[in-house]
Amino acid sequence: MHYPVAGVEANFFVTLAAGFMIGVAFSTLSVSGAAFTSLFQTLIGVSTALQPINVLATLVASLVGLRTYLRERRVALPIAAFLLMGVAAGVVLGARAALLAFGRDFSGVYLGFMGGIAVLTGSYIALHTLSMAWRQESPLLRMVARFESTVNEIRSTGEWDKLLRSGYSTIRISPRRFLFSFAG
Amino acid sequence: MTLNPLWLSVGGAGIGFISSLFGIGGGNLFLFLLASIYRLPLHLVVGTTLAAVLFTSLWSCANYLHLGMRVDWVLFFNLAPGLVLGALLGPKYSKFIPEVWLRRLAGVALVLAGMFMFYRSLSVQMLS
Repeated sequence: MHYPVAGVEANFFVTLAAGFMIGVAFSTLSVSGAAFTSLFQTLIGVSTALQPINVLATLVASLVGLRTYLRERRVALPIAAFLLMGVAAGVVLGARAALLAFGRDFSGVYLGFMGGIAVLTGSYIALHTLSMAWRQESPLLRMVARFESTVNEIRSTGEWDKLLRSGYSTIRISPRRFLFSFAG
Repeated sequence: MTLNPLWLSVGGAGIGFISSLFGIGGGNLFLFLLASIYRLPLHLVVGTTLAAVLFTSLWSCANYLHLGMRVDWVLFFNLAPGLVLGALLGPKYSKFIPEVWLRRLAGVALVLAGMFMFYRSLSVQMLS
């Protein structure tokens, strides 16, 4: 298959399979939709200038994946809303900073910076589960244990409504304190 | 579980700044903030992150299109069916993966993605 803007040839089924893997990885782990799309683009020889594809892929995967998470009550919408209040301010400042640097090619710096952050955070997330500290994460482990036992119970009984009843729920929100429960 | 909304917004502002400056969705950063700093279960974090990433991706997309960057729509529409199918099946089955393995998978995926970005960074800098 010929891609006119990218100016490369790639097998349709390879592209389809790559899309599937990016979709699964991003919607299951919320990790690096853009990096995996970018990896695929590099493998088929597409220039880094076609960056909107990365963001479009992330957009589609998050839109589709979110539907299931919302249905299963595995989304803390108030947390997303508080984050987005900050994000709204951050993107305006970021856009201004990008304007100040207009004309400069950031791609090398961006990739190095984001790569460094991804390696450090990824190592921390994975290695933390092997440490002694992981076994002392009582509130987190209690929540996880309740969720996993609910899922196991549902798997044997087939009562999927129970998952909806035991999902995320807000208990109280105030400007200084936000209380919620997950999995009961 | 109790959280302070103000600090969540401060974290969001930092991620928004980086996302907007570099034109990315910021999924990695949201994941680290919620799963490692706030110690929330990944089964809840991923859905919450997707809700936040939706906004940052929309912003980045609008920015790219406003700047007149060309999109290879043929490439995008060939990727899209796989993306949609993957994003439908991923969340449906992710609840069966134990938290500890989900975290290890996320960590390994982040490290691999980071190494790839480093490699790309070196090749971009060598070209320029």
